[in-house]
Amino acid sequence: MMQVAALEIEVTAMDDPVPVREEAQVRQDLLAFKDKVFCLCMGFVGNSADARDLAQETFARALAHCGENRPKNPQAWIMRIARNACLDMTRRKKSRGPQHPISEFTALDRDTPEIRAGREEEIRIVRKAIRRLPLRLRDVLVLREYAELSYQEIAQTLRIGSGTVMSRLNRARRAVLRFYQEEHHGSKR
Amino acid sequence: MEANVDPWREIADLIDREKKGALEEFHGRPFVPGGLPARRPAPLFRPAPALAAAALLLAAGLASLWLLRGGWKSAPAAPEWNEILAGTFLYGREGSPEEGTSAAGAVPVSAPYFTAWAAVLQRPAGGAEAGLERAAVAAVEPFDPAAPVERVDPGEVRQKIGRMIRAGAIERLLARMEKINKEV
Repeated sequence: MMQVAALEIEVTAMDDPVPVREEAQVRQDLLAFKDKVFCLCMGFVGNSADARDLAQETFARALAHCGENRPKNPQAWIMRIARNACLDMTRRKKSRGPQHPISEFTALDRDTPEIRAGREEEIRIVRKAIRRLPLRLRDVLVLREYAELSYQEIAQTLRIGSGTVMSRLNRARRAVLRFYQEEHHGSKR
Repeated sequence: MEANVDPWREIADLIDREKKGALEEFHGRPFVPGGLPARRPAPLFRPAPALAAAALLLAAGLASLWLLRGGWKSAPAAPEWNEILAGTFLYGREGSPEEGTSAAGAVPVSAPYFTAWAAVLQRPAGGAEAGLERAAVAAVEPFDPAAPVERVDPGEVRQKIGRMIRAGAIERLLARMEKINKEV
């Protein structure tokens, strides 16, 4: 739970501050990561409505503090803020009871309803598998598969070594795969 | 590790497709960073629903009371309790204040004949008979549970009733009632 640090600590303990720049420029720089932030949130919460809210909340938090100091690595900084916001929401939702996220799966025009339903079921299993992962594995997997960060970027965001990123990613993928195969084949039988 | 590459592709494709759909939806609406209103914790007590619930409960309670009793006038009152408790040890004691009150309370006060009769009796009259008649009227006056109770000696009451019988007061009362009934 120490990983779910308070935002204030996260924001103020950012990388070495550099001289204050124009806020508009900083804002512009940060907004370049909005898709990645949204995808990261999507990976954590599993539905686009909450992911949008969380992306907005992330930028609100970031922009409230970027006028004071500007982080050396804005991407890693904003990704940390987004991750913490996601974990905060997850905790809030846990305390409110179970909820069922709406599927955001994109169906191709040629997909029949049966294929679409089958794929929605598959993505539901994947989401469930990701939710069951321990936080340290889930962090790495979501940053890699949803936010599409490189190993180096993940290492900077989570402040861990690249070797640790690779090993955790491997373990996370294996765990998800195992769960997916068990559930998917179990449901087909 | 190599063995996991191909099976993982399937899952990666699912994630990509989900992400693509969500991103399309995300780009479809304007993104206002920092435009989110501050979240307020949900209040435990909301006055409006609580008041509505209280009003509903009150209405339901009154309605059920009305249905059970058949009206407001017959709501629970003391005489009923007196009737229920009449046979108990405390109420059964000689000279106890509750003796006779339940009977008095049971008299229909709003009966027209009785009212007219009582009015005639309350007219000024001379002698001990008048006093006795007034006492008879007082005995059938509506029961007031809050009124102070007068303790009387049963022997004295018996004497008074004996005197009334000897003087023919009851017969005269009955004759007068008959006359009043004819008038009404």
